[in-house]
Amino acid sequence: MATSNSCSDCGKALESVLCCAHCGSLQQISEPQDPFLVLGLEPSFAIDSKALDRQLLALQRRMHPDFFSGESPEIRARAEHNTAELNSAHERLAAESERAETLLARQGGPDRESERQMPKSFLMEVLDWNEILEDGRDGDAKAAQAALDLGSELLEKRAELFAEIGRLFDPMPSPGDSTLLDIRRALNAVRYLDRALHQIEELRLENSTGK
Amino acid sequence: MAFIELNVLNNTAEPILGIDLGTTNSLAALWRDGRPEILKPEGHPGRIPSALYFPKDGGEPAVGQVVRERALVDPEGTIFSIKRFMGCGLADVKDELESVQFPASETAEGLLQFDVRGRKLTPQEISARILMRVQDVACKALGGHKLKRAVITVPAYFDDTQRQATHDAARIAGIDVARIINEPTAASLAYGLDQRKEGKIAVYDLGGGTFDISILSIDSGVFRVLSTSGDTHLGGDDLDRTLVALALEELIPKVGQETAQDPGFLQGLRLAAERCKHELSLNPEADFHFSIPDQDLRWHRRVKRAEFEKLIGPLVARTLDACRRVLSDAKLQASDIDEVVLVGGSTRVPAVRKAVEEFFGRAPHNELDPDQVVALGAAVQGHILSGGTRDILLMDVTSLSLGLETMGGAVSKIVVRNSPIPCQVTEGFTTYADNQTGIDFNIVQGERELAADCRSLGRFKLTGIPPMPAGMAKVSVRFQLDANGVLNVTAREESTGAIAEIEVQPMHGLQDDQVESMLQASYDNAQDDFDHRRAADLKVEIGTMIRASESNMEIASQALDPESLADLKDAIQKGHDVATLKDVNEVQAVRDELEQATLPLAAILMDSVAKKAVAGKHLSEI
Repeated sequence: MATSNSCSDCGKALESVLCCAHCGSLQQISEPQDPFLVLGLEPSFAIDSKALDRQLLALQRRMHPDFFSGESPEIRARAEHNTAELNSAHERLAAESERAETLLARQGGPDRESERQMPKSFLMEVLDWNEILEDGRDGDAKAAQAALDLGSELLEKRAELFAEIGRLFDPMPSPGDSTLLDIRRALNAVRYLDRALHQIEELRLENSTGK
Repeated sequence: MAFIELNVLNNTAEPILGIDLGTTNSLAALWRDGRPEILKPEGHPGRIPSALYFPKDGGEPAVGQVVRERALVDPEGTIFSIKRFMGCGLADVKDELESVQFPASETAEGLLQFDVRGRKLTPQEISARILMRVQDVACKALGGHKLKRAVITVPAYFDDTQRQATHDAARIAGIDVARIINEPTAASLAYGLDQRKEGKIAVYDLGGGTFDISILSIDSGVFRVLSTSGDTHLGGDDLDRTLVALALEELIPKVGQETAQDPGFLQGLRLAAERCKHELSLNPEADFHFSIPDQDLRWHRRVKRAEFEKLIGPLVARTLDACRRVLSDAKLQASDIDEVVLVGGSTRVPAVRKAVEEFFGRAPHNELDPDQVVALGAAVQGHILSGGTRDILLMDVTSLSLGLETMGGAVSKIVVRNSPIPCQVTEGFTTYADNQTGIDFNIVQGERELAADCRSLGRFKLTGIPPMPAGMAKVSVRFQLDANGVLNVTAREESTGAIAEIEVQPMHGLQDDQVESMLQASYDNAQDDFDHRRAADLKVEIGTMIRASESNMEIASQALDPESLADLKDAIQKGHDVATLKDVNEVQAVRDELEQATLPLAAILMDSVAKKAVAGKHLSEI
C-alpha cells in the first residue's frame, strides 16, 4: 500500500498520493486511498468547496486518461485507475454528508449499522413529514404546496444540523471521544431528512410536468 | 481535385477524426490549423444522409445523397433512422417497428435484424455502411489520405448496450474507435472553444431521433459535465409523425385502411411530412403535399404553424420535463445557467426554440450550425486524444445508474447516474443461504427500482465460495467504468480469494467473431463500393464543370481560339454522355479531358488581379 508520501520516481514530497506535481509521474496505488491525501488537503470538515474543485481540476489535468492515449497500456490503465480514484475521492468530500461520514470513519467513529437509535421525538417528527408528503401526493394543490413548504423547512433544518456537525468536528475529536457518537446521531438524522427531501423533490418535478 | 495542404500529417501522432453518426445525417470533422473543421470534398456538402437504398434487383445498397432522391421514387427500398434501433432487441422496439417497412426478426443471438430485399442486416451493419461512407468522404476531403482512428459521438442517454452497438458498427466499418463521447458534451467543446466561455451552460440537443439535455460547467478549459438527462426515442422523427397522423385522418377515407398501412405509402408520406415541417420552420404557413402518380393520388393541405405547434406541444413538454430533471440533479435553478446552446436539426423548429428560451429565461446561442457542432466537438476531442493539446479537458459523467439485481428482484445501485467517469466503486455482498457456494449476479442499468424494468447488461456467477452459514461470506463486487463509459465488473470472495470477472457483453451486442465475419463481408464488397462511389462523385464533379463552362459559353466563343473552343465543346459533349459510363477509369478520363479543355477559358476569365486570388482553383469554383 502506497502510504509513503514521496514520489516513487523522483522522491520529492507528494501533494497528492496519485501523481507527482514535480515529475508528473503517476503513482502506483492499489487500495482505495484516504480522500484527503488524494486531493492534497488537510483533513477537516470546514473545507472550502471552491478550493476542493480547484484541486480536482488541477489534478485531472495531470492524470486524465485523455492525456495518456499514446502511452503504454500499463500507463493508460494507471491513468484510468488513478483518475477514477480521484473522482471518487472528490465525491466523498464534495457533499457535506459524505465528507462527515469520511471524517467519522477516519477517526474510528461508529458506523451506520452500529448506532441506529434515534430519539422517539425525532421519529414522531418523521412520521409527521411522511403524512404531509402523502397528502401532498394524493391531495389538492394546497396539500401539495404544504409538502413543498415542508421541503424548505427541512432544508433549513439540514443546514442547522451541518452547522452543528461542523462545530463537533472542530477541533477534530480523537478516536474514542464521545463527540463522535454525537456526530453519528446527527448524521443519522440527516439521512432521514435527505430521504424526505428526495421525495419532496420528486413530487415537485412531477407537479411541474406539463406546465 | 483537392489542393489542400495536409499539414496535419506533420504531427507525429496520427490525427483522429470526429464523427457524428446521426439519426438523419452523419458527418466527419478534423482539427486543422488550430480549429475543428467539417471535412467537405469539393462540390460535396460533407454531410451524408444516414440512410441506405437497396435496389430492387438485390444489388449493393447505395449510401449518400443519392438515397434521398431514390427515396422519392422507390420509398420501399430506403431505410432511414436506423440509429433508433441500435443495440435493441425485437421486444425493445415493437412500437417503433411500424415505421420501418422491412420485416424485422432476431438473429440466433437475439440481435434485431431487418430483411431488406433479400438480405438480412442488423442496425450495426447498416450503420457500418454509413460510417464507411463518412470515412470515404473524409478521405476524399483529405486528398486521398485515409484516417483509421475516430472519436464517435452517441446521445448522452444511450445505455451501455447502445454504446457497444455503436462501437461494433465502427469495428465492422474497419474504424478504430479512439473514444465514444456524448453528443451534447461534444457540442459544448465546439461551442466553448469558439467563445472561450466560463460558467454554467445547458446544451439542449434535439436531433432526428434522440433528445439529450446536459448541464456543464466550463472553467479555464475544463469542460465538466454536472448532469445529463434525455430520451433516446424522441426527436424530429416524432415531430414528423404528428403531421403524418394529421394527413392520415384525411387520407384513410380516400385510399382505404389497407393502403394507409402500406410501408411504401407511409415512407412517402413521412418524407412529405418532413418537407412540410421544414417549411413551417421558415414560414407561418406551409403546403403539405403528397401524391402517388401511379395511383392518381394527389393530396394537399395547408398547415398553419400554430396548428403544428399544438400537435407537437406534448413532445416539447416532454423535453422540458427532462430539463427540470437535469437542473434538479445538478442542484441548480434555470436562472443559474449562463448560456444555452442548441444542437440538432430539430432545434430549428421555432416552437422548440421558444420553449427553451422561456424555460431558461435567455435567448439560446445559434452561432454554430446545429447540424455541425457535434462533429466539430468530436474533432476537438480527437485532437486532445492524438496528443495535440493539454489546454482542454473533458470530464464527463455516466448518464444512467448501474447496479445489481438483489434477491427479490430489486436493484442495488452501485454507480449512481451523473457520477464522473472514469470511476470505480466497490460494494460488499454476502450469501443468503447456509452453505451457499455460488452467487449469480445480474448487472442492470437504469433508474427504475425493479431489475425487470431496467436494462440487463449481462449475468455472471461467482463460484467457489467455501460452505459457511448464511451472511458470513464476504463478497466484494467492483464496478469500473472507463473514460468511454464502458463497464467492467469483478466479484471476489474475500476469505478464499475466489474471483469472477466479466467484461460486460451486452445482451444485444456482437461477439468478436461476429464482428470479424461482418468485417469480412463488408470488405468483400468494399472495392466495388469504392469504385461505384468514386464514379458517382466524378460524375457530380463533371456536372459542375459543365455548368460553369456553359454559363460562360458566350465569352468562350468570342475569346477562345477556334481549336480550344472546339476542344471545349467536344469535352462538354463527352461530359454530357458520361451518365451511361460505368467503368470508373473511363469516367475519370472524361473528367480529366474536360478539365484540360476548360483551362484556356478559365485563364481568360481571370483578369490579372483575380488570377492571384483564384490560382490553383478550377473553373467550377470561380
